[in-house]
Amino acid sequence: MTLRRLSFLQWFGLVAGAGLWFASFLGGLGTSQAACNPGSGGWGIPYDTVELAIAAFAVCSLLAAELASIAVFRATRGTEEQDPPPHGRLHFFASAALLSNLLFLLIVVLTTIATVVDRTCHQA
Amino acid sequence: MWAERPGVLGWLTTTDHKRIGLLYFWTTLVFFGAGGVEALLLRAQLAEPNSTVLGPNTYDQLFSMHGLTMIFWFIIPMTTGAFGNYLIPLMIGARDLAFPRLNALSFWLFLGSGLLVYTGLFAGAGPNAGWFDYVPLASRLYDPGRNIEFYALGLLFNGMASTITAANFIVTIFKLRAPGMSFNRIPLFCFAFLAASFGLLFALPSLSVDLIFLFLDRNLGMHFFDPAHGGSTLLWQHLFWFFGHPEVYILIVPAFGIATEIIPAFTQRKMIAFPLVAIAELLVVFIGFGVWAHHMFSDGIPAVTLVFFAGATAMVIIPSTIQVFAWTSTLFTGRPRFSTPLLFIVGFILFFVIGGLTGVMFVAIPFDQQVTDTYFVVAHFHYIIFGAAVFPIFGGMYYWFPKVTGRMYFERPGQISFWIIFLGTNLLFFPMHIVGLLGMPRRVYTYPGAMGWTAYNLAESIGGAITLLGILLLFGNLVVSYRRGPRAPADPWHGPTLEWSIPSPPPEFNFAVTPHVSSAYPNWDDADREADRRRLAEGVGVLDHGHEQVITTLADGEPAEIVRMPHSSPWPILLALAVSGAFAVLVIEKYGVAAVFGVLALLTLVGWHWKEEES
Amino acid sequence: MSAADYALARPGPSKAWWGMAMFVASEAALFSMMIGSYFLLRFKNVHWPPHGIPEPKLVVPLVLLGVILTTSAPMQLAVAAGRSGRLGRTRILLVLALVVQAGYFAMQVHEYAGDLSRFQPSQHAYASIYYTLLGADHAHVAVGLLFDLWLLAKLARGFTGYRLRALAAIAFYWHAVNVITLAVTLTILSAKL
Repeated sequence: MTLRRLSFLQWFGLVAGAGLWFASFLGGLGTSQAACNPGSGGWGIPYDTVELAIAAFAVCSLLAAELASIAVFRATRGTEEQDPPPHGRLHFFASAALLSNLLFLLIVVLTTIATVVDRTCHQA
Repeated sequence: MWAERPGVLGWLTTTDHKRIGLLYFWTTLVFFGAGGVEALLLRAQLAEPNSTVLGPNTYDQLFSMHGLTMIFWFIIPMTTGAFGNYLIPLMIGARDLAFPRLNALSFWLFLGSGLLVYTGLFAGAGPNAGWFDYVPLASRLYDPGRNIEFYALGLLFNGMASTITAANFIVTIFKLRAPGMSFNRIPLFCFAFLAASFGLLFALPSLSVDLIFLFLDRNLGMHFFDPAHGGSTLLWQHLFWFFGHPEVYILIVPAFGIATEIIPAFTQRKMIAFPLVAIAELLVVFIGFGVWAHHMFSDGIPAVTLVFFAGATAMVIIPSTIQVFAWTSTLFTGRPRFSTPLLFIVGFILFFVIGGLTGVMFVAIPFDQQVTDTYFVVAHFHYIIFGAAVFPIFGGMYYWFPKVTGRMYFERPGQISFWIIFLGTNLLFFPMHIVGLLGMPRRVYTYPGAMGWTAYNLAESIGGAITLLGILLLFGNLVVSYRRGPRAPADPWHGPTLEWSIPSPPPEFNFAVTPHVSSAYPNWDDADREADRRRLAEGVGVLDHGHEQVITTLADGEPAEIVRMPHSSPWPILLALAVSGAFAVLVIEKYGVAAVFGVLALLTLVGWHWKEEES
Repeated sequence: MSAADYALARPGPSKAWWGMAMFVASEAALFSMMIGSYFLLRFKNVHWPPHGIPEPKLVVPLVLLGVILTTSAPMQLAVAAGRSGRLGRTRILLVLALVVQAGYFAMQVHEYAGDLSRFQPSQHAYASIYYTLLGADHAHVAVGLLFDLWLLAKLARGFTGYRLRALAAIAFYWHAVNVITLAVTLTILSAKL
């Protein structure tokens, strides 16, 4: 793989995962607020459907980001953590993204299950 | 190469990051003292039931000022303003921050904001609705005096200083690193400060919006928070906590950074799982932007919304835990020398684990709803803030004391001061868990004798007194060591990072020759440091045609250009005076005069940009 | 200068650009929080706008939005002209942008004053957020006008590296203000939905 390609995959793996979690988080909680508040409750927003759609998109993107990070990690196999750039830096970011994407995936999956299973709008 | 301007004028116009770091250091210590006095007065009042040491109005102002002072005028400016300013350029091999004059501006703005809010306190109109100042208590209807104006304007003003510092750190860490310092070779301390800086940059605007809305509601009759006219009291809370939660991670992440430098130095071992620790520091702050409504679990918000926050809160624990495992396994597999700095770090780890465990308990919404607004919460956050933020600050003071002052501190009193503070703070904060579970609410100015809380409160107050003694010993030791300690060499600890490769104290220009690095532990790379000495002898990379600095590329640290940096300047303090004037008169609603100060500020900005830097 | 000591790579955006990027990030966060507040208040209120307050106009705001968005073109072209050293062309493009931006600002002030004669921010939370959100946006446009005037004054004495870096940073500022204005306008107009 060319350096250019590796660099792109590295940044994608790092940033896309984080961005998608935050976007899905805002989308989900915003939809729940819209569904459950007096002014917007009357719009008939199907919270469960919307949340499942958001989560599906987020999970696919997170899996893509994780695969990108795995690809860069494997392509820079054998690199030590303090090695010179670009391979040292690529390996470093890929290792970091491997962890972060897994974590975001976990948050999205667990949160989606919990919010969809629960009765929408019932007070805590 | 170049020297600072002498005398008081030199200090007032300085743009040198080390001098600004020292200005921050001493100023924040004064505020630490003030916040400590406030705490001791609170503990004196609470030592016995039905006490009359302080009346309720005074109590309200003191506990509000205690929280505000410790967070905004002690921890943030101590970690970012003092430690960050002084050390970041040294650790990345730079001669100053990216924007030296902005750095000076942030200090003078910070000082101005502290003077403003304490003027309020001494005028009997200090903030009195708690550090999170919920509406409607803080609205004009229930808090008609000037107290909340001092709160809102003081914090807006303080926020400007922190935002500037954060922006400065980000650009510095991105662009001013020494050649060879690619992203995977940035010291973990700098990763921590990068995380905290991004946190400040994106969180402070939420607080600013909140404070502006509050000011407009109170002074121009608007209704952001007024349900009777379409507003929402929860809006205040959402905006506050969107800032407030990242803020508390911003408080501790720099302390994590201090710990991740002290541990390698005192075990002579590189940090285990370096990439995971680096990303964990960034993740704690990033995921921390998704947890804010866990401060609002008892508000009546639908569970479906709250679960988003509970989920993120549960997961934010993981990066913190990764760091704890990395620190402890590095300690166990190294050869630890339990000098004073490392003692404070071990104490920090213990406190952080306990505080973290109580934090995990709050993820469970039903449990949180039971203990919200009780002393259980006070216990949790003091274990985290005192244990996980202040302990590393104390440890860091000892660790870098030789570098900053050129003298060694006295080890024995240092260790004793650690033990006294450790025992004192445990006695002070541990009983709060119990008394909170027994139902004692927060922010009460007194309590009845028949509740079963008396003995715990008395123990806490005694713990406070012991902590005070320990802190006095700590600072006494540092003062005496400054005067009479033995001369320190450049590198007393065989520390891992670049600040240990230059004299103690560092010269004004930091590095005589721009260092080249090949790892995050450059001071342990003897070959590189030898190569630096050869280049210095040859006059290559000395960069002495004026105040010069290398700019490097973002990801890989390759040299890209040479820039000239500003030297001392009167503009930062002048601009700060104009802005201070504007904020001060806004408290008394003199909008016209504030506008005049605004125009003065604009004129100062023109003056600031009159002379042009070359590159 | 000591540039001879190094084999310099391509520099990328200047320090000044990075500083502006940090400022823009902070202001973008500020507007995001205000827009979020708008929607929180909207979700809480059954009638939005409430009775007694007129809905926002549609055509004038959209036309004005289109006008301000076009000014990104002369600003960016000015940056390109600056990089190729064409002082006269740079100045003309900046003046063109400034005239349109100033005209936009004057129209917006006129609209704002007209709105104030019909409903006040102290009437309802809708009005409070309406005027605050719009006022913040217009204030950022005003700051942009001041940046333009300062830059033109500096360029009256020719190009320097400093002034070119300032030009790039100020153009970036204007692009950011335009994006923010787009978001703010759409938010305000959402009340008609």
